[in-house]
Amino acid sequence: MTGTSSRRTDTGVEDDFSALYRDQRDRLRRVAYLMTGQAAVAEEIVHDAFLRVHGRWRSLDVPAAYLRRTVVNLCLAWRSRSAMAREREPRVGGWVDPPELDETWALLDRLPRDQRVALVLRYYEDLAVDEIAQVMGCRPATVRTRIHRALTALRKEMTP
Amino acid sequence: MNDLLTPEEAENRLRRTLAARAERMADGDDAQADWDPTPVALVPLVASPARRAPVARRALLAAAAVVAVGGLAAAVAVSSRDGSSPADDTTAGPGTEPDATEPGAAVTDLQPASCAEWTVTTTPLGGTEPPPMVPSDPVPPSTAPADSLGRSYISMQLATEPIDPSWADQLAIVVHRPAPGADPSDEAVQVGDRPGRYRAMQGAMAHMGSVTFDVDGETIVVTAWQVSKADLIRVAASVEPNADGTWSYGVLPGYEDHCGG
Repeated sequence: MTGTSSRRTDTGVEDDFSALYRDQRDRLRRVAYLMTGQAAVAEEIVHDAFLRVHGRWRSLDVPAAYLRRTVVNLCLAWRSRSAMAREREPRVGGWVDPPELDETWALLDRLPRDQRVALVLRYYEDLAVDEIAQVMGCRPATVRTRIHRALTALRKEMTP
Repeated sequence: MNDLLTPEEAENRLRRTLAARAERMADGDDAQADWDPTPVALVPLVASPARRAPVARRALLAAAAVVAVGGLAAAVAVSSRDGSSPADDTTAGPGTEPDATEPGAAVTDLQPASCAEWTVTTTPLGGTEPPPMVPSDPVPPSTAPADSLGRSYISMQLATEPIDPSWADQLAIVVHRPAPGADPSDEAVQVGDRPGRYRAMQGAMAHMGSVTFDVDGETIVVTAWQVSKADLIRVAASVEPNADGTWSYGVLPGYEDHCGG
């Protein structure tokens, strides 16, 4: 096969982008999975987020921060537009966790999307409330309220 | 209230749940349990004429498509910048053992390339030297006739980079096997052992190794490489069969402007 002339527009940029991808992809997949509850969706969201980051790469001061925020926004958007479709989607299976963890996982599905996202950022990502507010684009007080309401709802349903 | 967990207990349980589930996701293979064995999103988009997506979307789904019809076998390949054909190393014909995870050996010296460089060639199945259709022109030809045996490879240069073998399973291929006179999309099937992975093709990253699939007894060799540039994957080529038995392919509608940029 014959090749044609090759070009690289900006090696450094692409290297940086690839490095960001390698550093962040798996972690963000996990985060998106926790936020959406579906691995396939998480995968797609993360890919889309990288796509967006790449498109704005040159204008981003902190690409990783933009990336995380994009993933969060996409998770929020996905949840809001797929409430009906979710009912038809296959449920996660294939492994067994302790019953109380399975129960908690199922309960997360019932939470409003913004509450679930806030919980994931707080209790998985270990972000401070201020950081969560920044990522979610809301006030810290709003984050506290979301977390409080989510935990209250979970406690009511969790089996002691 | 005595029946409720304390806030601390609830938080602790929540942390354990999130950590456990995240670990499952990190395990990779375990996360595959989430994948529907049926490419549900693909079938309605491609297989049903009544619900077909817009042309651009269908073309995108057909990106890096391997086309097989009758005795034809076509492979999508990504070329190295020095012009050598990676497909050369993987053009074993029918009978090659399927291996969806092992990347090709010829990928290690690949370098990033521009989408504008992609070209399309065809070569007889099992051939060792694919005849170039467009030796120096980055614009692909409009059709790629099969050889006299009715078999051909179609190689498309999208972009190249050294591949990470662990990403080889990101590949999914759409295979069109249209019946004579039928809508070419009607019999689209997806091959590969990772149903649903076609989504990765739509995203920013498509990490592909040398993959061999066996489709109904026909072995289709696919050689593709990591595409790590978001706009490159968006300009992946589409492959469409023509009524006269030839194939048309080109840059996806709506993404031409990315090429050459």
